[in-house]
Formats: sequence, structure tokens, C-alpha cells
Amino acid sequence: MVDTGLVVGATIVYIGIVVVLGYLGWKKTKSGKDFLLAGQNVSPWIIGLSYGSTFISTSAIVGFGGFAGNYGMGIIWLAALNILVGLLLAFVYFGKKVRRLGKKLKAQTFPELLGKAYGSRFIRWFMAIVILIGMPLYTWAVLISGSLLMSPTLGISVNDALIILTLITAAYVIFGGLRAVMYTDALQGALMIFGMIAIMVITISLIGGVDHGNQSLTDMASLHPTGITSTGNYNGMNGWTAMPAAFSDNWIILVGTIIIPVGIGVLAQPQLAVRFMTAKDSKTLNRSIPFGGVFLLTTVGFAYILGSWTNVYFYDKLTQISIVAAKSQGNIIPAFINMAMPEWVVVIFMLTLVAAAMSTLSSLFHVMGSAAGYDIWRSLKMTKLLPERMRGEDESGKALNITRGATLVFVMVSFLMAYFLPSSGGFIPIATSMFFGICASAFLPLYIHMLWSKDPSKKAAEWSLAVGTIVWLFTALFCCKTDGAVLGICKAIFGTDTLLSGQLAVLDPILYALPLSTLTFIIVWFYDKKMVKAAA
Amino acid sequence: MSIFGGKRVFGIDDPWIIAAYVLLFGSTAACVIYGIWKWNEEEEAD
Repeated sequence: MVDTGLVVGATIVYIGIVVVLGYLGWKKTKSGKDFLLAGQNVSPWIIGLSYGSTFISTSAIVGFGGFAGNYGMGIIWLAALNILVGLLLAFVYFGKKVRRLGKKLKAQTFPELLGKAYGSRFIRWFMAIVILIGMPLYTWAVLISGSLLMSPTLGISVNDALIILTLITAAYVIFGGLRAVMYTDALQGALMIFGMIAIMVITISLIGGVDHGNQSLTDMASLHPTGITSTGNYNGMNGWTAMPAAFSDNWIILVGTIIIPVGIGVLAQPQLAVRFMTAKDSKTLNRSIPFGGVFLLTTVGFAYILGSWTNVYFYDKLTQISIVAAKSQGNIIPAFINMAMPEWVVVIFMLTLVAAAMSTLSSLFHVMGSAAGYDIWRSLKMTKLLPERMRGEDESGKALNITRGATLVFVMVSFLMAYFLPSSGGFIPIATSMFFGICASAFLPLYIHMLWSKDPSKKAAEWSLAVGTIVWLFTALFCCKTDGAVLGICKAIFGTDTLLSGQLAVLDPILYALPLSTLTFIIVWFYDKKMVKAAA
Repeated sequence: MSIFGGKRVFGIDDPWIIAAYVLLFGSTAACVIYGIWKWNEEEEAD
């Protein structure tokens, strides 16, 4: 048992530093642009760490790390894609264009950027609505995962942990805007790198080195569970150091519901895309790439590798594999840390996870507040949809307070969801991959087209956005078994989590929605071009 | 199944897992090299 004084002391020091950084952000936030884009002069290392720590939440480390402990090293493909696609490709091919276009169009949010690029208010509002529908679910997952971790370590109830986590994060987001979010992200990112390197080094020494650890794990393949048990579906598994058999249940779950949706979905995440718009120039973005790469390797890369190695440790100490020793997938990483690591590492790990939760949470609060206050409310005031006395541009200070107020409203929505909905840890990775999925399905085709087309097609973008969102919602609600179980609507209407059966029921909604939204885009785009040509 | 003449690479014999490791560390190295290579590169023209 870790010394309570040490835990409480370290937590107080950590929270104290977060409060100071939040204060520094608040002092420098004077306008709406400061609140939304941190003044567009953020340092490269802060952008790199902030991008990484926003991307990686507690569920990536504990949820997917536990998945590696249960199902093996195939998930390392996700970490590799996170770095290659989610960071390198995103910064080099998307980031620089987004920054330049954002500056040219004077856009301050992701929906505003796409709305202005296509000259469509529908796109801006629709995207903001998708964010406001989908993001509270992701925020709920992050809030719950942070509270479930803080509760036993600090010896407080889950609800008390939830209140503390929400209050601290909300305070620095509402007052300090994106500047405070990114300053604290950088601190939290640095803490996560330090914590994960310490854990990795100790784990390697515990399993007798990398070669010996992998060798032992490969030799343990016969101990891997088979068939369907209370701890999971192991059909197609070949041990922890091998991919599941191609097209088996496990291969489809790993590739179709985790690696592809999360690996690709990251490209169209509003809270990440906005980071590109905070850079002063392309040079700043180039310089931030190494920081992000090292961050992702040491957090998710290390978590997935050592998640699998926990089997070697538990078998050596208890003659049990991880899923048996820890009793549940979500408990594999925490159980291993508590049993194998020295006290100071346990404390660092707890802070690492709280930091991971807070850094993601703060960005989600910020994006929801921007979508509601800036993209919907302020943009609505420019239309005839509101009574005349309510129309018109706000002064800078008032506009800032409106966005702050909207952030507060969505902080409260997320808090109430986390407080009243069931707090099952098993839903956390699913809710995470759901938000990544809806963003990719709805936004990715028009986002890519906007960046590379000289003459973006407004009609194609509007149709693709609508089709991607509707198909994703329908398949998540009624076709995908795992998403259906979280949302509960199919069960309420039809008495079952899915209307499909067999392997079709396992497929992630993105696998239906993204191809359809892309196809819609291509068809309408060609039709639109033909019409324009005919008119000319 | 074993590859590389029946030898294991770092204790692993599934080429898909070895490829994942290579991609993981290779991508990180690419990020570091790219960042250093382009450290002082000026703004590209629109």
C-alpha cells in the first residue's frame, strides 16, 4: 500500500503547478483570438507535447494497455499508426496547409475553417452540432476514467474525485482559454514521458531484458485462453507475440474496430486540428514534430509493449497470466504497477494518468465551448434567424465572455453525464473510439478536399457531411454490437444491442460510414462539375 | 511459424509483430529526423 501522505503531497504539488500555469494563461488571455488560438505564437515544444497529450488520454494507456495484456502485441500497430499517420502525416501534409488556410481565412475554429473554405454556413453549424452531440460522450469517458483512477489512490469517493477533476480543469479552461490548456498540456505531457520511461526501464529489468521477455512471452503461447470466456473472445488468438489469425473474430476486432478507426480517425479531430492554427509559421510546426513523436512512442508505444510483458511478470510471480491475476482487462496495468513498481513510481504513474485525463479533458471542454459560443451562437447573431435586437457583432470582451459562458455550460453537461450515468470502466475505450469514428466519417472527405482542391465543391462537402453523420449514427445505434451496448437505444426499441449478426455486428461504424461519405463526395463532386460545365 | 531461417528476432517470430515494432521505432526516428532536417526551413509559398 502506497503511503497516503506521499500521494496527497505529490497531488497537491501537481495541482499547485497546474493552477499557476492556468493563472499565467489567464493573464495573457485578453481577446477572443487569445482564448481560441492562444495568440498564435506558441512554442514548438509546447505544440508537440500539447498535441500528444490531448490525443492520448487515460483510456489509451490503461484501456488499450490492458488490451495488450489480454490480447497481445498486435495493438502495437495502432501506436505505430498514431505516430506515422496521427503525427507525421498530420503535421507535414495537413498541419501546414491548415495553418496557412486558417490564417488566410481568419478562421479561429475547425468548423469555421471548413465553413469559410466552402463558403457554407450549413457546414459550420452542422460540424459544430456533430461536435456538441459526439464530444460529451468522449468527455464523459475521460472524466469517468480519471475519477475511477483518482478515487482509490486518494481514498475519496468516485463522485468526489469527479467534482475535483471537473472543477480544476474547468477553472483553467474557462479563464485561461487555449493558452492555459496548452501550457498545462506541456507540463502534463512531460510528466507522462517521465513516468512511462521510468516504468518501462524497471519493467525491462524485471523481465530480464527485451529479448528474454519476448522470448518468454512467445514460449507462453499455449497458456493463452481460447474460445469465448468471461474475460473475452479469444477466437483466432495465437499467443501474445503473434497477430490473430486473419479474418478471425479477434483480427476483425483489432484491425476493424481499433487500429483503423482510431488510427485514421485522428486526422479529423477538431481538438487536434486547432493546434495547427496556433503555430506562428510552418517552421514552428516542423520543430514540434520530434517532441510529439517521442511523446507518442514513450506513452502509447511503451504502454502497449509493457502491457503484453505483464504476462511474463505475473506468471513468474503468481503462475497466472495477466487477465487472471488482474481479474479484468482494465485492471491489468494498474495491478501490475501496484505490485511491481516502487512506491515513487506508483505515485508518478497515478499523476501520469490524472495528467493524461486532464490534458484531454481540457481540450474537449475548450472545443465544445468554442463550437457552442463561437461557431453557433456568434454566427447565429449574424443571421436573420434571431430577433433584430439580438443581432450584430459583439465587442471583443463580450464575445470572449460568451465563449467562456458556453464552455461552462458544456462543462456542466459533461459533469452531469458523468455523475448520473453508470460509470463502467469497460465503456471508456469504446466511447473514445466512437468519437474518433464519427469525426472521421463526417469530416474527413471534406477536410481532405478542402486542403488539396483549388476549387472546393460546396455541394459535395454538404452532402458528404450529412451522409457520413447519418450513416455513422444509424450503424452505431443499430448495427455495431459494442457501440449499441453503450448507447442502449437499439436495446430499448428492439430488445437487442444489434440488428445484425455474426462478424458484421462486430464491424465499427466507420467502416460503413467513411466509405459512403467518401463515395457521396465523389459522386456529387463530379455531378456538380458537370452541371457547372453545362451552365458555362 | 518461424521466419528468418527459423530464428526469432528479439524473441518474436511473427513477421507482422516484428513489422509493427519496426514501424513504431522507425516512425519515431522519422519524426526526429524530419524535425531536425526542417528545423530552419522558411515558410513555403502558397
